[in-house]
Amino acid sequence: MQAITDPKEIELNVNDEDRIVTIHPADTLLYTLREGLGLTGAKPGCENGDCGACTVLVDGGPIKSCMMLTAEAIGHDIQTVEGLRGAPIQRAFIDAWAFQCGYCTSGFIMVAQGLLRAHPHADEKTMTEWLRSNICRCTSYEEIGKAVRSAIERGDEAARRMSEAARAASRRS
Amino acid sequence: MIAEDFVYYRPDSLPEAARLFSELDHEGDNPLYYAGGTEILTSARLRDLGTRALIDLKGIPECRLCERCDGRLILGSCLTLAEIAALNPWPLLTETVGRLADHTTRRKITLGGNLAGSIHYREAALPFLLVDARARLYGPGGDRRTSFDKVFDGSLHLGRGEFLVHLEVAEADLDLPGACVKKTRLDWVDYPLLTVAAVRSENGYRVALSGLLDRPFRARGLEKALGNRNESALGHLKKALSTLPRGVLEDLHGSADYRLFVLGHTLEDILSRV
Repeated sequence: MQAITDPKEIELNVNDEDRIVTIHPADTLLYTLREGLGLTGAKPGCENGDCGACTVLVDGGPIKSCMMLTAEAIGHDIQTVEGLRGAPIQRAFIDAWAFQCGYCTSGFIMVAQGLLRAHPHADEKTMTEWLRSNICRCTSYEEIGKAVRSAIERGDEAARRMSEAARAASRRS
Repeated sequence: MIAEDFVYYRPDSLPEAARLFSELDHEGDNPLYYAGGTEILTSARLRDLGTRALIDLKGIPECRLCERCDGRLILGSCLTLAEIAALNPWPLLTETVGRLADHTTRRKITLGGNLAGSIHYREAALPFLLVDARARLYGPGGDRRTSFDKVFDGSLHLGRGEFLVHLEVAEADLDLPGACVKKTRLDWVDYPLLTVAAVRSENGYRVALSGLLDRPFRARGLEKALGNRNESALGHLKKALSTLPRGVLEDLHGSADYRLFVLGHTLEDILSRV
């Protein structure tokens, strides 16, 4: 049985690195990432599971880190926006000007990254369903949708080129 | 940040969880079972939790089952709503839980948590109210199996230290034609103005509702009235709605009259589909 009864040093896998951090049993993952590990990309917004500004990926899927105890995250792979390191979805947000104040951006990028992993060819309905998890108070929804749509289309285009190259190689051999 | 202080345990077995609860309860820690935690963490943040110990049930294999066994589908209480939707073992349940909260939050909310929570909608219960569902419970008194409607009458009634292990549904019930429609007042992601789930069996329609009263319920009077098909559809529905229990909600989501208006049209739509 796992028990965290006092402040305790634990190991967390964050952005493909094993990090040692001291946690209290009541610490949320959001608090540990920001205060314990200095990863401030996940933002405290509503801290009530509504806005999604604190979204990170846990085992590849989006989680609102204000709604997860750090103790629950032990043994799971956590990815924050810092771990994306120039992923195509980040470029897509820049190209589409998909932000105004930018506070919600890392959360939207993480939910979009989760979407691209789970559904690389996501249709409009699936994309909308995933993005509904987050709120942008500057109402940049049009541009955010455009950014995610373009990342999906770029992925489709890259997959088509790879498939054509593979077919061509097969014809040559 | 959560200012309340509590300790966290994650037992690996049913007896370990029940024993731990008894010990912590005896010590005055007022322990709480924990699964998705969305409601518990919200309360903790408001300093409204009143516990000194959380017992996370997600490490118990029996609470994570999703399998068919001896002609019944078994659904563990710690399955998240997103996992249920992805596995899709029962399309009516998938349709129902697919409209709870938002996609990311459904990766945390669990089946058991939705049924045991204090937020009164508990929409995940609707499909189970429509079929012959059974519940497995575990607590300091050991293992207990009973019909779902014996422990759930709009909210979950468990003994001290008892928790829901899984729910079971007969495989034959999984194939009943059914549908679930959720209506919200403002945004797509919101608590329901009304959620209507219905199936058609050889004996007629079965209907369960959330958002109409202060609890989800099986509308048996409505079902009986719907069984009389000698009248026109709209007149028939108006008469059927008069059989509903008193206490239709009046709140920010809508007045009682508005709820009944929406219910009439939603029923007309849903019954034509199942």
